[in-house]
Amino acid sequence: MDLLTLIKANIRRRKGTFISIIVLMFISSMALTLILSIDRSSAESYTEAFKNADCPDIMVMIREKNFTDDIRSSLNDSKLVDRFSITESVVTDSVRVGNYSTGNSWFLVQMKDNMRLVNSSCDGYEEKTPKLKKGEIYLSYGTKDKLKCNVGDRISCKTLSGEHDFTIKGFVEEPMVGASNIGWKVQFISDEDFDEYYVAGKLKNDDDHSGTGCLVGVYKSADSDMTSSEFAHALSVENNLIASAWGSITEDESRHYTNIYSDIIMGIMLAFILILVVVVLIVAGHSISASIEMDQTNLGILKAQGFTTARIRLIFMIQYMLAETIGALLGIIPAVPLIKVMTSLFDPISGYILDTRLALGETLLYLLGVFALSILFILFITRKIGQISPIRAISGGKREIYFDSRLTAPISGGALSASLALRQFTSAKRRYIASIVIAAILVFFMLMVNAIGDTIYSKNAVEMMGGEWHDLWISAQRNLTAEEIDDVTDTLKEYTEIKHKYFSRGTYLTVNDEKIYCLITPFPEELAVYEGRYPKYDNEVLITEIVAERLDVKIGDKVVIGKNDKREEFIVCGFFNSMNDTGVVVSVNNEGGERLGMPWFYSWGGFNLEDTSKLKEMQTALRNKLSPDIKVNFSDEGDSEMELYDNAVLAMKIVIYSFSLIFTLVAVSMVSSKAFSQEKTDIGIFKSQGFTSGKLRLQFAVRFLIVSVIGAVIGTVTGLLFINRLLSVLLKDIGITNFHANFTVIGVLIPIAVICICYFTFALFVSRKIKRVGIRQLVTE
Amino acid sequence: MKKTILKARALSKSFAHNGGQVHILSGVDLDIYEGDFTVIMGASGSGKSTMLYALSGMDKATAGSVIYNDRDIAGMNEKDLAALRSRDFGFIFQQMHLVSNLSLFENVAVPGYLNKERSADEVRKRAAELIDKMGISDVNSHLPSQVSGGEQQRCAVARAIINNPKLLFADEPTGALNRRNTTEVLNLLTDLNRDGQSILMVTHDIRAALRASRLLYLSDGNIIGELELAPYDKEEEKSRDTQVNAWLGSMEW
Repeated sequence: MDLLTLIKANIRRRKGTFISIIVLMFISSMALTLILSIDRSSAESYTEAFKNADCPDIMVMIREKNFTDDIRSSLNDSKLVDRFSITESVVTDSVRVGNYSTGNSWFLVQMKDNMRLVNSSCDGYEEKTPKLKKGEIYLSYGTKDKLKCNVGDRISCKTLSGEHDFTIKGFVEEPMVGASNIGWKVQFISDEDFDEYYVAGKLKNDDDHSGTGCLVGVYKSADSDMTSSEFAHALSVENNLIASAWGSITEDESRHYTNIYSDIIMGIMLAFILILVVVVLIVAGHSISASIEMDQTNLGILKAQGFTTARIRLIFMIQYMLAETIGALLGIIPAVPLIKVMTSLFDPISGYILDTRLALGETLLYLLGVFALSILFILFITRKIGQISPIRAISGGKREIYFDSRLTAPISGGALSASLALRQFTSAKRRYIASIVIAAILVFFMLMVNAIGDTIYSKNAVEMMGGEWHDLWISAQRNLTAEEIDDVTDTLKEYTEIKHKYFSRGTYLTVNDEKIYCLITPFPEELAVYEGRYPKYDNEVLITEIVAERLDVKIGDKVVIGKNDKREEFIVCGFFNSMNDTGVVVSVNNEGGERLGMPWFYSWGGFNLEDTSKLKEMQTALRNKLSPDIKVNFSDEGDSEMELYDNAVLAMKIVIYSFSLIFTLVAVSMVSSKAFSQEKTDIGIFKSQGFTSGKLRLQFAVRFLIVSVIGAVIGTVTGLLFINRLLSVLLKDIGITNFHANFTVIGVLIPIAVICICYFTFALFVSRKIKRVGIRQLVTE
Repeated sequence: MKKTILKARALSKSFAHNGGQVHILSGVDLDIYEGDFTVIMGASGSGKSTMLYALSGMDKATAGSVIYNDRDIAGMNEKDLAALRSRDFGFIFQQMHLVSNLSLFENVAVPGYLNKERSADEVRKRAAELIDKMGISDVNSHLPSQVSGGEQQRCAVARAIINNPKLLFADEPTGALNRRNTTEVLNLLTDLNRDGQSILMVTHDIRAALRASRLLYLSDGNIIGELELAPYDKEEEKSRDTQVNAWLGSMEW
């Protein structure tokens, strides 16, 4: 009963603190629930979709003629393989819907029975998937936003045998390569269309070109405990299936690519939220510490009445844990509708409908962890209660709480308010450490999210990360000659400087028996090399750090590269960034490609130009100069895949900024309320000397401005020093091992300004109490 | 003829308590004269401090007026009151109330800086003079917590007079001091008064009351007695003590 009475009294007296802790935990718990639910949903929904579609462990895209009898026999005889399936397909060169197009290969196959059709509101699946009629197509869901298309739109697919038009009948779940960030796509057409176009395609196939191909699905044996990546590696040793293919994808890779954006964004968000939980602990710790300091008398009296230190600590513990528990449990409730909102952002990227169930178990587990941490933290903070002696109650309880500083900046007559604010800060620095840490953390995260945002939007940064930015590009249904490329270059140079030109062909080959994507380029100097140098000679290969780690090789080491039946030794000449194949990429120059049996063949190339104001004129000039079968296009629309990513990044920005604002508001309110309570007497004294409430409020707010500036500077410096490294680790999954953030002056100043303005404004708001309290009341406090 | 520096008319102060009203001051009429060392005495709980706070504008009266320079300070806004405290009034508290993170010198100088009638250099010079006069120059860079109560109160006196106030209010300035420090502070106040400083002090300490040139007695929320005294002279302290004690006895002290 004694505990209950005291806890009730404390809560009544410190309502503000109690509510603040509830609010902070409410937000943290809500965000945590959201993130954990989406995280679990990504994993479970993918597994379910994968099972439902009976996807293989490895899917190999291969020309029929390369799928030799030897390979078939090897697969039949292999102990590693349980079974394999063969799906015939018509291969597209390019596809266009309205203004949007893609040059990535699509594999048009016959409709399957077990496909799930996404419903009209895009939040679930229809019970039945109607049969396709002639001229109709089901697209994988990841295509919908990427090509900005809808049911009923006309889609034009260019194949070797001609251009085929379809009407989009709907969007289906295709988990293997259905995500918007995977270039290949398996799309579904009617049996009639397939039979017609497949036969036509086969007739057009020659030695160099193939308009048809096989999708070979390989299933590992039931008793195998290998991962799909290990299985692919083992299979590469047994036969040439993967090395002879256009490409292949394992279940591990598919899962990785499919959920990559949600994983990264949720990873950053989870880190942010866990740090916010730490902020909650800091704020709670500060509050407890200040309460102990201010309540020395009462604590002494309690001790004099026979309360033990442990019992008093228990009162603090119950009080704060009660607030945390209430906030945490309340936070779970609004997360339920928010899960739907967040998954709707990721669904078009991942290509399947994410489950929107609450991950209650995981959330409670995390919250238990947070509570355990809180208990330890509170035990640590309240240890000083043991030092309070009952005699302190008799002697008035209070002890001096200032003077821990040697930084005594002079009080200046000219800038009296500012210098007094500085003195208040320097003489009680410890009181503001929590606020400084909070400001630093929030600025750090805001800066990081700005860096990601600015980098995503910047074309230079896209190139820095190994991506390509094309202002203008040319393409042909044949091999472009070196002379033709020179012609284009010369013509463009008449209008503007060419920043970069991208001509490459991509192919899968094996490097030390690992299947890896390879870019062959006649312009290796354009690659984003950050260590070593680009491949100058035909026996040099550039690799990413991810490949280096996977193969355990370094610059100067030798690797064996295999393509079809060729196996050649190459020397690693440097590291580069590439977003292709999420960073599992190597690159050789044109001569290196020839060594591997792949002669010059470039049918497409893009240019990044200094001045893009005369693109139309450049296009006209090139059309007049070049052979009519060479197409010249320029970008007048945003990249739709980037737009999808931008939306997710924007959502992350909004969440981090809004959470930061709420946390700043609550944290500053708590810290400043405590500061106000501790300084009531001083405020009264100043008032009695003739200071107006306005001057004192300003002085109070300036102090928090000083605190926020210090925190913001620490956060900014830490950010500038570590964000690149941190993001390199976080973004390694999408192939960025050497993140180079594009810190803009605005991007750096905005977080500082937001935090400083918030601290100042919120402190000014809290200090309104100064006006309400009379001097006598203050002085005789 | 003495010149009135501050006057109160029908000054009342009451507090709500248990659904009723407790009257602390009940229509007090009072004139404070320039150059006087006025001391208000009364039993504990008689409303001495309440009256001092109401007269100095530190607290609002429930009714009545306090006139200073022909203006009712009850009707002043916060800005005017702040200006009044900065320019015309000085205040000494029983518990000193120095700003704990400012040195003694800074505690004295800050109201001078705020006043802006002098340049910063002049304020520093004046603060140094006052600190010297109060005999605390050797500890002027110390923080309040590092000096004795007497030194703190002397600093508080210096702070109260740095802007040459027209009227100095003192609320039990010796209440928290030992005998030696009490005498030192009272000597300071007496010296100030001798130099022309008007002082209004409340106390229940007879030793402090002896320094007055005019004694007022507050009882049941009203002034019920007044005693005019000659300027303080240490040589005549004994006879003065007898006179004051007799008067206080008549007031049922």
